[in-house]
Amino acid sequence: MLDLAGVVTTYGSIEALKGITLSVPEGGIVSLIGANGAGKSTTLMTVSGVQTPVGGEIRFRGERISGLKPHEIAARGIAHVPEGRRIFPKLSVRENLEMGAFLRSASSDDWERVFALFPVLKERLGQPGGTLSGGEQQMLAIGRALMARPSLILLDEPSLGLAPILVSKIFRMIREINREGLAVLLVEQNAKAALSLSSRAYVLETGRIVASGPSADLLSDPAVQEAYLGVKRSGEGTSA
Amino acid sequence: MLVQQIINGLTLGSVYALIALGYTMVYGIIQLINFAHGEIYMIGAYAGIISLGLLTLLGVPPSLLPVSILVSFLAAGVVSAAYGVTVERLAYRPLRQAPRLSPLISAVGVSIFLQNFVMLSQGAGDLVFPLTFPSEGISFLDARITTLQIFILAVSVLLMAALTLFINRTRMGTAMRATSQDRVMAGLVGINVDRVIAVTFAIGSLLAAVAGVLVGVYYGLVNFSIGYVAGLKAFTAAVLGGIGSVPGAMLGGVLLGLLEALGAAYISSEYKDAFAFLVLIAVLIFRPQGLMGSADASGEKV
Ligand SMILES: Nc1ncnc2c1ncn2[C@@H]1O[C@H](COP(=O)(O)OP(=O)(O)O)[C@@H](O)[C@H]1O
Ligand SMILES: [Mg+2]
Repeated sequence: MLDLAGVVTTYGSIEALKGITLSVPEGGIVSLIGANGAGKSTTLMTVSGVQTPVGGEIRFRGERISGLKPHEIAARGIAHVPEGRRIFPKLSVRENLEMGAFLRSASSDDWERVFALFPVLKERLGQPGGTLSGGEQQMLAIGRALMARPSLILLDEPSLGLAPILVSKIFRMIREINREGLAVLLVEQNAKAALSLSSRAYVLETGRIVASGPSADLLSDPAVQEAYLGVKRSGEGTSA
Repeated sequence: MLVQQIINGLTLGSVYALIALGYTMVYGIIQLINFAHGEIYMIGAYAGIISLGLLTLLGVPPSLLPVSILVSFLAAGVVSAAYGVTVERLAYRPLRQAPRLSPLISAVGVSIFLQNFVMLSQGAGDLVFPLTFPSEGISFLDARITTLQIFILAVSVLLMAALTLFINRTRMGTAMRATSQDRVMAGLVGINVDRVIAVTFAIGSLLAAVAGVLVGVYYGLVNFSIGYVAGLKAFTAAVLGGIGSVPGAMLGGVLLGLLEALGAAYISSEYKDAFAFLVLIAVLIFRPQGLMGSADASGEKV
């Protein structure tokens, strides 16, 4: 469904992505893990057109989308929940959700679906988005993305800064929306949770994919365990 | 005397407010002080005069007030909006990723260019605005409000009410607020950010154009340099209200008009223009965020 081939993205003279190749299948959950600064957010920002790749190609359902503007990519059915949620702080919860459906007219079904997933949003409709708690903002950010009725959702560290009970709730929601047929590309530093949710995963290190495969394999891979899952290997120094 | 000055001040202030809205909306959405905005206002006044000339050629005398008012508003609005959108497209959009000073210098350049362009094409002398309102008015409490003043106040209030509804109640208005709060996120939800910015320039220019026609009719004379002082005053009004805040620009305009009228009457009419700039300096020193602006610069701008 989504295919990146040799994607290179730069910030000035810094090469943040040095040739990324990855795929997300229709209806699948794929996770992208890696340390802080590895280039995970840049990968998502490049897919959604905020950054334009200087090399390689991105295809969505066979059509080239690299080079398109963010609103054109959104119109093709890709919704992006960026790192830090980026709720419109002075718009009400209702207006935030309406903006999620900017490209279409939201039906009452769309509203009901979001309220079914996140009932708390219904109680907060008139409140400015910026006054919500971190967990509520994350739900609003996901709800806003769902209002677009996307076929692929890009989630950037949805668990960041949330209490453990909320983290498991958010991950349950992700599984639930995926069951409705939505493909998910999930970026996480919480590698263990991400790997247990996804079917496939990629490991990113300083702009390069250094490992990939079925999530279960990566979960049991000693190198991945040591670097990302906090499991210590005995009798070995740190490897680069 | 006091009541009379308040009436005069409100009239002037409502026109400042119309122009100030363009500064504040553009600042809210791209954080640029559009120094060419005063020229857009001036061009509106010229477009009004030219349209009335054409109307006369067609056999409609300017004394047919409803027709000439409507035609001059329409012509001014369309022409100024076209100029505003073109200036954004050619002089600001290519510099959107550049350091903040670059578009600012570009704006000053556009302002100088437009002034000279109008001077060369329309002449350096004053033009008479060929529209006169009946001179009667309403007298009360030792003061008099003319039909023209009533008209200026009514048009300004109507436009400001319409703008407020547009920004707060329509999809495009909400998209404008969203874009001013987080431009990247606005693109991610599918808003065509370039189009929203163009619409912002069009609306700001249209309001300035209407102000240009109103002032042209009020003072009766127009020349190529009227955008300079009017622009500076409207900018002051926008800063006074809190640059980026729409209700702030309305309040700032009205307050500045009142201050000027009262200052001219009770302190010195020769220093009338200086009051505006004293206000600007005082606000920048004591309350840089303005009366209705938020203290944090990253907050809402529209
Ligand atoms: N807007 C930016 N300007 C310059 N460099 C950036 C910008 N955003 C990210 N970077 C750099 O690109 C690299 C990848 O960052 P990012 O994609 O945010 O990583 P991650 O999401 O994996 O933490 C880092 O070295 C970071 O410093
Ligand atoms: Mg990141």
